[in-house]
Amino acid sequence: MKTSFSDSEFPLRFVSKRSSSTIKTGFQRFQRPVYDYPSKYSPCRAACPAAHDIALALFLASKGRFDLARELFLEESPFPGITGRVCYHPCETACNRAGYDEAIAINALERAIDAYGTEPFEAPKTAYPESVGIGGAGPAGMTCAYHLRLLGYAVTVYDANPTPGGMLSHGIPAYRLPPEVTQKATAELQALGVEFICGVCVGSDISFEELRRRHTALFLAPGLSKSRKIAGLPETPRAVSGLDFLRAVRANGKMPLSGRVLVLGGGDVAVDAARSALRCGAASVTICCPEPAGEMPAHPQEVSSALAEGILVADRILPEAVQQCEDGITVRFRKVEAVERKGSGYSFRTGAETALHGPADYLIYAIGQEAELSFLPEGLCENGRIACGPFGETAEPGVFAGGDAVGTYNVVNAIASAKRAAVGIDCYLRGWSTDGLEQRISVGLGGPISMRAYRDIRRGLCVTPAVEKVPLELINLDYFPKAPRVALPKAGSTTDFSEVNLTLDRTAAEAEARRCFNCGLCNMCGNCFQFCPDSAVLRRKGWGFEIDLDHCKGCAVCVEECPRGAMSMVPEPNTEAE
Amino acid sequence: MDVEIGGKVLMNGAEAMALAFRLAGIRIAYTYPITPQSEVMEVLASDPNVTCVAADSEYNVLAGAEGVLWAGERCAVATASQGLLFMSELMWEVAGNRLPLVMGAFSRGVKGPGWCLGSQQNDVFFMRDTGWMHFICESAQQVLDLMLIAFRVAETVFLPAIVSADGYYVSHEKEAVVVPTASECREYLGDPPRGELPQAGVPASFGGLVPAKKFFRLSCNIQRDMMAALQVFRDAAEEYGARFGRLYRPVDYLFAEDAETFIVTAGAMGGTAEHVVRLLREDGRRVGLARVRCFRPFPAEDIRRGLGNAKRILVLDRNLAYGLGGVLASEVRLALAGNSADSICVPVYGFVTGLGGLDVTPEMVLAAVEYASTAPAVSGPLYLTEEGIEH
Repeated sequence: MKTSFSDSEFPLRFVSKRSSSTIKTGFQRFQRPVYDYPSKYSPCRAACPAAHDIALALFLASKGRFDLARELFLEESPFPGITGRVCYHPCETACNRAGYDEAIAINALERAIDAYGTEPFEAPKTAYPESVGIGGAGPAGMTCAYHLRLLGYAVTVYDANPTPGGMLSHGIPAYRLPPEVTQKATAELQALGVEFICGVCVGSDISFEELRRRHTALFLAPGLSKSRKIAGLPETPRAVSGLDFLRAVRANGKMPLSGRVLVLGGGDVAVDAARSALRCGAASVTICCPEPAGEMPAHPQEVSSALAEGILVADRILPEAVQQCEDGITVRFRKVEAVERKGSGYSFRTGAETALHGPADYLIYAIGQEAELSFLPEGLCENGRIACGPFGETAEPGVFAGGDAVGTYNVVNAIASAKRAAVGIDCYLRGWSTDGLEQRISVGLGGPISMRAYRDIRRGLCVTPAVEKVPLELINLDYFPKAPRVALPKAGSTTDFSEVNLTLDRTAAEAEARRCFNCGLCNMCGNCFQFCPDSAVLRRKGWGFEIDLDHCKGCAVCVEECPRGAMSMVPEPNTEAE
Repeated sequence: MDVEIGGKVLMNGAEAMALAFRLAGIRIAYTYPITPQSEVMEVLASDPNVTCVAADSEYNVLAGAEGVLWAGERCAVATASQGLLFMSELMWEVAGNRLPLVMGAFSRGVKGPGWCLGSQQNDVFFMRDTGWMHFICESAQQVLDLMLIAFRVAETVFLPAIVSADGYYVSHEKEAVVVPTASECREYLGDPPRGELPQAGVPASFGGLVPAKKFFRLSCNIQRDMMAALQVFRDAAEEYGARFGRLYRPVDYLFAEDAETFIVTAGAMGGTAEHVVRLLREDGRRVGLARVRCFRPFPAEDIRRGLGNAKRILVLDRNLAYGLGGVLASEVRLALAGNSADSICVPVYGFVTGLGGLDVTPEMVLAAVEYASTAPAVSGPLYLTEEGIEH
């Protein structure tokens, strides 16, 4: 029976054994997909002064590869464990996910990645005869030392303090940054071969000229070590500067305080000092600042933590006169009527109304810091800061500068300036021009620079500049169900200096990393390959995909179905001309 | 129910359809709900031996089922009305790919002047050109039997088949159904033929862009095999009758030998017509009945042989093809016309009745017979309702 229906002369069905690839359908295309994810970058990366490749690091973390994620962080900066604690994470403000549900807890993840990652790179060989001297072992000095060491230079870091770290060791309170974290980071740098000479003050113990003689290039990052004073301050041990107070607390573990404490200033030092004062035993702490409470220059998160701990804020008042009486210290303030931004600072217009605070048992003033730059030769400074160019170059060839002394104002910005200086010093020492370099290694035009890109270019690799930011509109949200941001673990008390924030546990960190859109990153999910109706997306050997333009009809399904905006559609060159 | 036992069981048409799929050994069902078919899906879904894949539309029900057949398995698919129309584009492809899919359909009016839930055959008759065979049942027993026969025929000629019955009248009414055992059915059906199905590791494209000459030839082959399927149906039904005691033919006749007036119908109205014919026979009237079981391929020769000596023919259509009239009437007229040299000249009364699910009562059938014995035939449809007949 079946024989009459399976005609041997003519088959039942149309079956072609010929490959359909001979039919080249690509001519139908008027736009084409481009697999160009290396030229894309996530908004978080552009917002990160250290240019960390967060999208990739979080993808690795989401797969449990904290080791690789940490290695990636180390490509750009030496201490994710420190920035994972004290960075004010502008990345989270820029996070695309914030426009969808809640931003990824990038800062907490950086810390977790540091905790669960592995040891740093092996010590590199010293490849060059030139040595670099670095003045100041704060975040900028250490970062510059780190990158130059990785590039193969012998590096010596000088610091006046007995231990390296700068503000990390002698300023930022232990409840935010425990000493052992900085010690571990320092030890890692030493293991890489960075030499630290501490207890030596450039200027008094060793002259600038002597440093110039010893090293082919210098990087100056002295920080802001002087506190701005208030006129008419009475000479009493109960009136101290914020910096001195924080330094003493870090050196002794604690400073015995009692009674009522007034803190003048609204910046980070003021808030750090206020919270430290509470932990030292103060019965009440009041921050007196000229700005409105909601606009204090200190990081809002720090301010709200301070408020939560019971610290009071008296805002819109400018100190006018300090008096010491029998009961303690009294400060007379003048009410601020308006705040105006003036360049990098503020100016305050005051009215006739006054206010009196006190008597207080202690007064801590933190109304600004200044750099101690008297050791430098003429011509390097401008407005109390070291003047420098985009790669940290000062007026004197071979002398570079970074950190707070050039006008940065926090750890991660110090890191950013030090990276630029490291590039500047390397180019100087090798005799290379930095012309046109910035746009090749920056994340977006005018964005932070990537040391990974710089090292790749230096190795002669072809580096695709990251030029296209991936906005939320390019994320295919169908692939990302809404999920709440991880709750950050907290601990600590206001009676001692134990750490306030804790590290996410491994499972929670992986889960939070999985929330990441990985904007602009091809993670080989294979959607483009899967959804292409013409099988025109081909797998590359190893990593990545290729578009088969002989057969791609330009339907854009691959680009549409890419969950993370890692591909683009561009007009077909010859159709545009028509 | 335990398909290994068999016996006489009270069930409705939907249950009989689901049971037939199980007896045919299906393990996968692609489903999408639509009244009055949904109970088929419910019965299959409650069966632990069946994986029900809930598709997102009837279109994808058929697309999914096609995949199951490409992989060499039988697949259960059932629908009605709008759902069937939604499938229609893919139905051509399933037939063109020569996949022996058997689909159950409970006919229901299509949304035209408005939504329609009632029984009407336009949905299934609309598929008459798609390359699907079409067998029509009038009871739950017939659903069970013709489903099994349809599997046998489809897998012999490599063409898909619709097994249809009137929605509600058959799908929802319970009757005693004689059920064969699964092993008896296995013996009757055998394994699904694998033919030249896609093989892993042998790159080939099926049903791609076909050169026009080959397209022509393949289309002719579908027509050739569809026509040959009539004999395959006869043989398969005969073997079924020998095994299970119920015999079906492409057209089942009653009192054919001496009838002068013939009623021709398809589906559940056949039962009503039989009742009327038997009443008229008691009065000595020479009335006969022809029930069309096999609508595609259309059994033109069976019609010509059976109806050739009639003086008048009444066709009862529960459908209306706009611009034509009753579908079955037009098919019967075409069959009688033959190749014009041998055309049979008998007046054909094309009654269109029961649209939208209106009941067709014995009185109405009787009225139609009386009308045909006095009034002349017209070429257009005669509308048969409880109120009377008009054209």
